[in-house]
Amino acid sequence: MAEKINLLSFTGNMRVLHITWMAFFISFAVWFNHAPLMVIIRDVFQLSSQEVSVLLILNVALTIPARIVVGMLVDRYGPRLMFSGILIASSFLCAFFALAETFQQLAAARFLLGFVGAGFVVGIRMIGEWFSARQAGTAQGIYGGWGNFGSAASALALPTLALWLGGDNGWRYAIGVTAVISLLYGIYYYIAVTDTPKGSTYFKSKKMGAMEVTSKGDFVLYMVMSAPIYGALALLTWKLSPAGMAWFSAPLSNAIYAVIVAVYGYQIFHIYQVNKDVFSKPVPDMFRYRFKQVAILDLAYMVTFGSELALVSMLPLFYVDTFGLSAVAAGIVAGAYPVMNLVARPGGGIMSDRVGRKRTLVILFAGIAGSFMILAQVESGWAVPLVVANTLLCGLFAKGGSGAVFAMVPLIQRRMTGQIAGMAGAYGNVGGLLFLTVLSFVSAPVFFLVIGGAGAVVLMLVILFLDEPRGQTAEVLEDGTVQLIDVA
Amino acid sequence: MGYVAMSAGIISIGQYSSRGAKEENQDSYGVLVPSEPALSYKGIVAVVADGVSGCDGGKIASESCVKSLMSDYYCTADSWTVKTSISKVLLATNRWLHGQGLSNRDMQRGLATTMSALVIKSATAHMFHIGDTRIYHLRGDQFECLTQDHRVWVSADKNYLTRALGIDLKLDIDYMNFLVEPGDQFIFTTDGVHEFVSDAVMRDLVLRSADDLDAAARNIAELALRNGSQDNVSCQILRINQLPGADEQEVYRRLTELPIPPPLSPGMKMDGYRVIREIHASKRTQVYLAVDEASGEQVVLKTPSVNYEDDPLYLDLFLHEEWIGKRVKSQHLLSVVNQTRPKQFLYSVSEYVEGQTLRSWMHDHAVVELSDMRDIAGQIARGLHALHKMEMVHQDLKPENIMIDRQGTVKIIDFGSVKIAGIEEVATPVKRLTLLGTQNYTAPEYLLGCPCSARSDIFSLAVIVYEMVTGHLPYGDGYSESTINKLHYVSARNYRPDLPAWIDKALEKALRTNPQRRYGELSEFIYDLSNPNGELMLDVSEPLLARNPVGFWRSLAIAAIILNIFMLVKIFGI
Repeated sequence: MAEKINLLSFTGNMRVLHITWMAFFISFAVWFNHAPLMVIIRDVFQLSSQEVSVLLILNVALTIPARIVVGMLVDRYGPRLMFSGILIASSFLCAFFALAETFQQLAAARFLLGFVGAGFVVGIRMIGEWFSARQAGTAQGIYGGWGNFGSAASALALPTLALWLGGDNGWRYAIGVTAVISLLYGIYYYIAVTDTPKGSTYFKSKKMGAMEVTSKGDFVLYMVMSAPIYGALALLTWKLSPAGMAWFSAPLSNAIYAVIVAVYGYQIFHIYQVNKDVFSKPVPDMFRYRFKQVAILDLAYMVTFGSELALVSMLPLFYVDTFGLSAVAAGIVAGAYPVMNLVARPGGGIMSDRVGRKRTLVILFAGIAGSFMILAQVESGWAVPLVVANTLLCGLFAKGGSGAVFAMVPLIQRRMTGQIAGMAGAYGNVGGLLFLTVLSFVSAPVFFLVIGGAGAVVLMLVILFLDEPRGQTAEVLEDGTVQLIDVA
Repeated sequence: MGYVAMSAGIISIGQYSSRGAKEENQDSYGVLVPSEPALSYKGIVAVVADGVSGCDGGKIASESCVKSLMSDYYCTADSWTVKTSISKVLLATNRWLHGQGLSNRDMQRGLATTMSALVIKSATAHMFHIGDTRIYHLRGDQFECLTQDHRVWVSADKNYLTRALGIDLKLDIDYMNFLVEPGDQFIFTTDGVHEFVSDAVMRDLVLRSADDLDAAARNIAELALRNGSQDNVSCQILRINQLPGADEQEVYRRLTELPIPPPLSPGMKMDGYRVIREIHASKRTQVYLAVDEASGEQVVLKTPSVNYEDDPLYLDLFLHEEWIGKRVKSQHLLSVVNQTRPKQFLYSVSEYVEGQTLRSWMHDHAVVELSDMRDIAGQIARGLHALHKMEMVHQDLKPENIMIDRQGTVKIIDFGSVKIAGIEEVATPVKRLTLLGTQNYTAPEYLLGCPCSARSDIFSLAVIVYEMVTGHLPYGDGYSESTINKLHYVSARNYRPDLPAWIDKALEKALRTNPQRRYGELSEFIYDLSNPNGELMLDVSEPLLARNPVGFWRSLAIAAIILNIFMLVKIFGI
């Protein structure tokens, strides 16, 4: 009935929205429960800085392939079962992490926990089923923005909790608490929601294979743009191979490379299968779109969401190491960063609606490039509040950018919104992995500089190549008449 | 005599007819290529008919047969298949011819005619044939006769026509269909021609004058006369230059011709309708209450969701909903408002039904009186029957799709999933959905991907009736492809012991998972809801083991335990 979203309502689809964003919130809290405790864990296990960075990277690695797998499973089993399953499974992985005795166990747990990050896709599907087109944008903004805030909850609460529970094992109890919450909420989620509103017509979901492209040039571009997703995994393998940390033996890493190449080859084959028609006959106008739009949004999200994942992982340690803060204090100031999500992500979407898609991205990416470059100048002599204010500014632009990217995704080609969003999301994770890998080689200021530089590159791409999506074909006159306007 | 009506160069025609040695030409033939949309929905008709020469009215008979195929056929429902439509037209023609013969005493043996007709709809040719006229099919240099002469030879030189239109009230027509290709040629001949020209010669004559089909037809007929034919001679040649039906680009262009309206708020005006409020919005559609500013009438506007603006499948279904509303009229189906003003946007306008859905009615009535149940089920059935008569299957019947207005009239309101037999015959690049429906209400055959029929709607109606009387679903919540074989009907009397057993039996029959074992007709089901059906009651006294196997084994186990305890006590004297 409601035309506007009433946030305080807890009935009908609003109830589903609240329960679902809370599920995403908890999954995010679990996904990043290690970050604020890293200082303590580092001391307990006597970890080198390389080992710390590997833990951070591993945490986002599995998410990339997991998104694809979860996307397929959700078609088959529905979002309710999938989200419950992810929460419950992650609670066990969490417990495994909490009980770890060696670095290897820590690493394995963190690697497996990466798949919790795929929960995002599931919730998006749920929201799509329950909201009409008019409300869907706002509902997804709330879902994404408030859910992401889960990492802030971890940062704010877990160090204090660990301290309060006390002793060397305080961190284990703190992680254990998130495991218990995740388990209970997973069960609750299964009981509390249904996949679709009661009595809604069921349509057999279309097979989600490769994306359709509509010209030969786009076909090539699509193949190129699919590569970095595998490249990121290859990068991780390289990092762990004899050339990097020598964690994997040479034959093992070669085998992994071979698997990655084979999967990429399979994907190319699949892309060809889906799109072979573009080589023989023209695509109807109705279906035409330009893949470069998708490519630019992918890269944009790689910077915005990738930087968020990276910063959420490293900020607590950064504060401790640079300014000598306590774990609790660092957690609190680092927690302020994801808090920006509450307003910035929906704000980016609203700004995009009002100011224009392209202009919003230009403004926000200029902001990202500028604010991260300033952050790169930070030294231990700076006043902490000033630095925190600066990171908040970075967060404001980056999360606003995420909102603006997703505000534009449905306007490229409606029919493929899910696939385009999925690809952008994967790029977000690639960004996280990429930036954290960079961090393992360089100092924090250079790391910030790299993010700022990536922002500047995307800014140029947006200015040069992004087309403003075609506007509405209707306008409302002063007397309320809906008029058709000619689109030239 | 011959007819030709063309509106497009999609076919070429050649025709020739002569009375030959006879006084009167009793042959009739014709080809009709209608304009759109009839060309898409109905296709091209080509026919040849030979009035039976023993009858005085042979000419009238053949002419009225050709005329009715070329005019009455295009008046049949667009939703009907070619086979249904032509059968109905031929049945009516046959009855008329037969009646004329009976009433006209002056004529010796009434009116009768042979007939061979071809309907080319989309990429398919449908052939109808009775009597001894023929249709030949020429593809490349392959030449074959599609028809079989209905003649019986009593001696070497004497034979009789065994079947024809107008001879008997009972009508038996040959039917077949096959795919046509551009370049295909069809040659229609009467017996005066094909009894005197061999197939090979006929083929060569057609191939020889490919660019002048009239000449080819004339050459064939004149050769028959030269060869000694004493009968009327008629030959008609039809060549398919391109298949009827719009090309791919055109189909998609038509789907996106009108833009999807933006979200509407109260007070907004669109094409002369002022929006009062939003009634409902889902992932797929928005429904608004609006007022027609010209007439002051309250209407409902349904607009497609922008989520699907480039989904041809969805738009196709949306357009069909209005198409159906315009063609099926029933008090128990939502009526579509015939809009005279031009549309700027894609939306549909229908009457405003003030009342509640059956779902909310069921919420208000925890215990439903059987009389109310019969009334509602009967009205839904009448609505469904109107659809079924038009060869449509609703496919998505559920309490949410049924409205009860303030006067108690029940209406089915959603045609978004209706399957239309006549439309299914039209080839389209838009891939149609195979599975539709709503969980718990959809018949099992959908889940298995089997073809659905009116029986599928009977299943859904029975689920609704079951839910009305018991408050439960007959097969529980959510069955899926993998569990269909394990489904067991739970007697409605489990939930409502006072329900007469014969009503339960009627429900059970309507809810069988195998559509072949359900009721074939809605009316039988509705009748059995009010009248005990003795046949169904025969097996009412089946044993507990069959009726409730779990209950049977459970009681047996409990009895065994008690017996064991009793024996223990006895033996050990505990």
